[in-house]
Amino acid sequence: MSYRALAVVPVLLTAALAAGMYLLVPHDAFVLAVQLEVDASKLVALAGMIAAALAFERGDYLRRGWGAWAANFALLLARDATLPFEGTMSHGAFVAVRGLLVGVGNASMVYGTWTLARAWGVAGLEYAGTKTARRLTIALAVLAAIAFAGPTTVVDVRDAFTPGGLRFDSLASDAGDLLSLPLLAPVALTALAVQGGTLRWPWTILTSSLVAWLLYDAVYTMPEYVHVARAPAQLASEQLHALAGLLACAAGLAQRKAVTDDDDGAAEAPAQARHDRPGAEG
Amino acid sequence: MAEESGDRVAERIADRLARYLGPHTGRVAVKTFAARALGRGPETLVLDDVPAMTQALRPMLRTLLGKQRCEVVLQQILREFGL
Repeated sequence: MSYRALAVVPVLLTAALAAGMYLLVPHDAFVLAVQLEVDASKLVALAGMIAAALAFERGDYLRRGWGAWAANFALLLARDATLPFEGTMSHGAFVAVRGLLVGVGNASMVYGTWTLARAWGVAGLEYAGTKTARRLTIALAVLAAIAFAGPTTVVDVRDAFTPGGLRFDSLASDAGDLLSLPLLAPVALTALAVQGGTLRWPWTILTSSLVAWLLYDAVYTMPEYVHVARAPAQLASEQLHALAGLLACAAGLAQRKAVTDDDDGAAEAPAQARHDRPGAEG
Repeated sequence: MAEESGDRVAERIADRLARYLGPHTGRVAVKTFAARALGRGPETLVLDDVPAMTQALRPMLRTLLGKQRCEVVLQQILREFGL
């Protein structure tokens, strides 16, 4: 699959699923269908992230970043898998288990995004543009994260003080969003810096995935703040949720393609570079 | 092999990096690592500097492409110069 197809297919697939959901799924099966769609997107995101991580060798810097993202999706899927067990254990234990899974999952996501966001600096390269422009970009990303993820946090904190409303998983998810979404700026700057090269694809698609997360947060909470019908808002937000997962998968696959595809029919990696060979120096 | 001008050596290394990093960053990387490793500008690079340049580029490429692809790219650069 080409890089361009990897970038476009998640958007087309999400649009097709949304249309199918709207036209074909009966009202009483809607919640289940949406849950299945989102879980399927997390599953393919997990596969994409694992594919990206395994494209690198043990000890490679980016293996950690993609691996941490994979752990995030695995733990979020594990959280969703606890749903059928609601009622089979105490409410406190149920909430604690889900909170723990989401908490560790979001910590992995923050670490993974942080690792990817730092790759440019770790590589010893400097971003294009002035430092002021870069700081402004990062400040805008922080403001966007607060503006988009903040309202959800406010609602979840408010609910936590109502009887039975404390949900550790939601609070952990909010914290993860607030910490990781500002890192969108350095990820986007890296995507811009490698324009014209194959590496632009994983970084650009990953940036798109993070933007989809931002929009998901915003649309999810919209009915709490503005007068919109809850059902369409839920459909839209869950489509963005699924889109974020599909784009994460595509980013992982694009990263794998960028580091494993043959380049000019190059042979497999040599055991050592030429200057490591005896008598080759100078 | 005829000695190439510094600009041509830098350009050929940058072209190889551009496949992954894009043309702008390919040039910036050559400039950055020529200054760090050799203390000179890219226009001064000669054939004998190419092995040192590949050494200097290794950590950057290893970070962004991983060890295996990094070694492939470095070998391609050396091969391109007949080294």
